[in-house]
Amino acid sequence: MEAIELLEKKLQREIAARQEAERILEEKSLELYQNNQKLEQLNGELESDLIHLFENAVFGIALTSNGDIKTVNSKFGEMMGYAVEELKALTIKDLTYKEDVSKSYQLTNALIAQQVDQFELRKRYRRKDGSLFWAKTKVSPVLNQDGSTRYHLAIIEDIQFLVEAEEKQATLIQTLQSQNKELDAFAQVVSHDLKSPLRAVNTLVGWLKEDHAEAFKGEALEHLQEIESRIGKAFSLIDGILEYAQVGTENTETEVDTKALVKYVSEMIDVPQQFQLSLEGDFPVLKIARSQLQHIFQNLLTNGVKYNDKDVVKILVKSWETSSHYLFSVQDNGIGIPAKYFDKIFTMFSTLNEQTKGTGVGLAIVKKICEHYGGTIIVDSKEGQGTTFTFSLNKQHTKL
Amino acid sequence: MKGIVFTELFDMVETHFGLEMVQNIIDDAQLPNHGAYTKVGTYDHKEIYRLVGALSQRTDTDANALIKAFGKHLLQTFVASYPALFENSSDSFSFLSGVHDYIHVEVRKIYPDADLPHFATIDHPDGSMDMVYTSSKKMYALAEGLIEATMEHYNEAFRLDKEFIEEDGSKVRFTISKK
Amino acid sequence: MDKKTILFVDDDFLEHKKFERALKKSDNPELSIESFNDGSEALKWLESNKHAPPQLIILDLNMPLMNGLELLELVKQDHYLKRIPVVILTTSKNPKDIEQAHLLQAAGYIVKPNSNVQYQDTIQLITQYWMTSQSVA
Ligand code: HEM
Repeated sequence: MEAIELLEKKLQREIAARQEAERILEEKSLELYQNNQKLEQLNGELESDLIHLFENAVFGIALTSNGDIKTVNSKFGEMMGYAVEELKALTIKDLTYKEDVSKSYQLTNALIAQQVDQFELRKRYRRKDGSLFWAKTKVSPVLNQDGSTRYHLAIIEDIQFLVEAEEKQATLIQTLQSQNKELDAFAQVVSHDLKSPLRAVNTLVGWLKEDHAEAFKGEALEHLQEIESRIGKAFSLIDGILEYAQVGTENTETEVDTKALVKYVSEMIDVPQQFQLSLEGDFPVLKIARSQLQHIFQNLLTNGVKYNDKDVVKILVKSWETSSHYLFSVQDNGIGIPAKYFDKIFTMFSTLNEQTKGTGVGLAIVKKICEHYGGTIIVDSKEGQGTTFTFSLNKQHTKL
Repeated sequence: MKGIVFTELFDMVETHFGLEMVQNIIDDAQLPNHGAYTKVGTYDHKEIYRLVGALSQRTDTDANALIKAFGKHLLQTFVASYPALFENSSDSFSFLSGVHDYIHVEVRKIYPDADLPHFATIDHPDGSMDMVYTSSKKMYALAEGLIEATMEHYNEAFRLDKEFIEEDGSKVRFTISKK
Repeated sequence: MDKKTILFVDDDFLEHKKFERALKKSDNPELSIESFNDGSEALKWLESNKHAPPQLIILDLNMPLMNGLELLELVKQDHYLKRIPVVILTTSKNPKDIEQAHLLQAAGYIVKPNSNVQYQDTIQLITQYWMTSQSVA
């Protein structure tokens, strides 16, 4: 083939290819144009969605630039008591309570200096009528494509209610705390001041007996002894009341192995010669003030032993749990309690027996401790056969 | 198959065998458009086989050897047209392992109708790398040429082993070890 | 050998008498007692007797003017006086008092027994222990 012929053919191919390329180009351009139109339409929809969002938001929204207000939604106008157009002529500073201006200013500067990406603050706004309200304001920048800041977008939520509720709660807690402290101090003082004269009387009776043994004989001596015994009771009563007042003020909660605790208590209390203690069930390890739980078991076990007329004193302690509570029962074979007293024994100063060995505070304290840990205590008894105390502790308060 | 593949093939044939050979293989292959390819067009990939087949007969050279040589040629044109793509990778392996997940992805953005192969790369503890080629086009020889040229571009001494996972060449494992 | 002294501070004069009686009946009847009704008087005495300090201070907590914990704190701040063991003897079982006393380095904290017999035993025990214990020269 001649070179010229080859070149001619190549030229023809190039021309045909160019025409083909132009056709493709035309086709692609049309496609591009159509895509562009679709995009524009989408953009329009997006914009109207955004405007809808903006206008119907439950929060106030403001777009600002250097503190000047560019646009706000009608909700913000409503919050501030201004018409939207009026607001556009104002600055953020005009709307901010003067005491909060500087902190708002500082944060905005940090945002402009790009030290922070956004910030949130609680501040007070001033309505058109001069009234103030607390709001939570969240400010973030709206960026241009090149990364420069176009606007600051502020989202403003009225939290006046919240702030008021918080303040109320704080003062409430404060009064409660100081009342508690006062009460505690009061209880301490009362117990000291009540005990002092009792101690004095007790001491003096002791000296009378010692120094004037000759003078006090027979009935006179018995009377002195009765005074001493009554004073003893008064002492334990005062201690009991003080203890009752202190339930729940101790907050050193530790891990307590309940099985070990029951055994420990049983070794600590005075027991008769013939004494049988049995434990049944899975005893949990609890998070609880040890002294308080010890108090419960000590009281119940002591009661079981003290009010018992059998030759062999038997006490059975059981433990089990439900989905919400740990439960314990202490069962004895003692003298029992008549059913009509089942409620009464848990109230202050109730001892059933006149020649009683107790002060009538113990079970009230036990009940108060159970209730402090979200539980309760009940009793079941048959006269002459024995008594079962069952108490519960809420898992939420005592679980490890 | 994108038109660029055809125009590049003609370029290569013209450089090595002259314009007459280009005309001859166009005539031999009996192409519907008589060889008037434009880079932006898309054509039946069978036409490339017909052209390579014709070239193979006229030059009495193995078709796959020709495709491989074409692969090497293609890579040089890529280096010339898209130098940034190569500068982004510091060595051959990091470039090759980005072909499937990065380069061909960009290719598809420019040519949405491009029909690209699948590559899976596996790094071995001994420092070698597997590149498993999968494509119904069975153009593993093109891949071979592209890989070799890539290694040469990065000035790295290497050994390339090839194992047919599918006998027909639709799935081939290349193992590249640097020396 | 010098006569050993115990400083006894309690706002109730009856407690002074009671302590004296208990001490007389104890194994250490020879001990001399300096009794005060209030912390500030006791402090004055301590400061003017640094050359012959007491062997032991027994201290009540609830007192007018200067209470026991205040006195304890001042004693423990004084370079000389801080070596004297201070035992708290009080009616208070308040855990806060107990903790505070130990924080201020009281040598002991004893709740006054209600019964006269137990009181006697306790005083016997305290004096026995602290008179046996060797003090810093
Ligand atoms: C800058 C680098 C690269 C560019 C711009 C590029 C671009 C392309 C284009 C445009 C096609 C044609 C697709 C079609 O016709 O539909 C193609 C196909 C192909 N590319 Fe790449 N490629 C590059 C690097 C590589 C490398 C390094 C390899 C090999 C490891 C490779 C292997 C292949 C193969 C084998 C095909 C043929 C299609 C098939 O077998 O299914 N490419 N590439």
